[in-house]
Amino acid sequence: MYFDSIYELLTMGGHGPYVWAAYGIGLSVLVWNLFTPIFQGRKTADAIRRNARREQLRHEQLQREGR
Amino acid sequence: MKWTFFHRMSSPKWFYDFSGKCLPWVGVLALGCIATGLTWGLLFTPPDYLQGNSYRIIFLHVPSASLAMTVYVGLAITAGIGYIWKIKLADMAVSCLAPIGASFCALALITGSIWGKPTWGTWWVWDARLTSMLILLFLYLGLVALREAFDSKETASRACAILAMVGLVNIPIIKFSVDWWNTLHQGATIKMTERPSMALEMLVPLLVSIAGFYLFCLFVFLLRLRAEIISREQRTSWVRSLLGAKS
Repeated sequence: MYFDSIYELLTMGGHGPYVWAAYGIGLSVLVWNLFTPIFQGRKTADAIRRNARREQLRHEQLQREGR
Repeated sequence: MKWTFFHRMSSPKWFYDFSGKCLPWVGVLALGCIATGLTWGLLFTPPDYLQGNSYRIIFLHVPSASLAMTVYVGLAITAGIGYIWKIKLADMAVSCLAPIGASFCALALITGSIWGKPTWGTWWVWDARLTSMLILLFLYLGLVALREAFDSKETASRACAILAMVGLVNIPIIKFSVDWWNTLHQGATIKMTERPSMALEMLVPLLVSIAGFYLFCLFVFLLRLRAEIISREQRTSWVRSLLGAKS
């Protein structure tokens, strides 16, 4: 490691707050990009399954009523 | 022979299956490169002789700025292809690329601004590079908003394709802004035609980080596109059987 101590790594000769803030924001952008499609995909898949179940129930009900 | 390949590639089902096979490899490579590049840049490179430690932001700033521009070029070309040949998958790709590009463009602007404070003494200047990059962010946000503004998917797709193609004019302006105008922003660090103006021990982690960001972008693009395919093709039998939803 280039830095001699953890303190030096955190402060980076006065530039620490800038560097760490940039890396924090960068990491959150990566995480956002990763999780948005995963949640979106799950939500869509659940909705499709729910709709299919509803259609199935309606179909069965119609059959029971003899229509 | 080549054309049948393109034709097959534009089928959502084929693309869904194919991307599923590539996804784990791209993901692992992206994670490896980003983790290596950023840790190397942050902990194991010497400080810059002029800028001190603040230059370490370069390992985030350059990859995200480069991606923001490359994604836009890819988006505009895909939009053009979709517009001319009316390919459904191309429009899906355009709708997935816009938010990804917007996020990296915003990251480039934010990290640039944070870097600017200790280096230039200001968070923001209306310099040619910064302003044209801000316009790129507005183009991306415009593409996202425009799609939401139409009820008809087809009209939205055409409107977005036209905006994407017109916006392409901004890309060379961003690229050459540092040469055409006397800007506060420094010139390009890595050039195709010349030796890079950077020491090798800083350049290598930067290149690793750039590769990682491009792979990561491909990874999240595939994830998004797969979710979009499922959403738009939900009436088809292959999606229903894939999700175990019987009809």
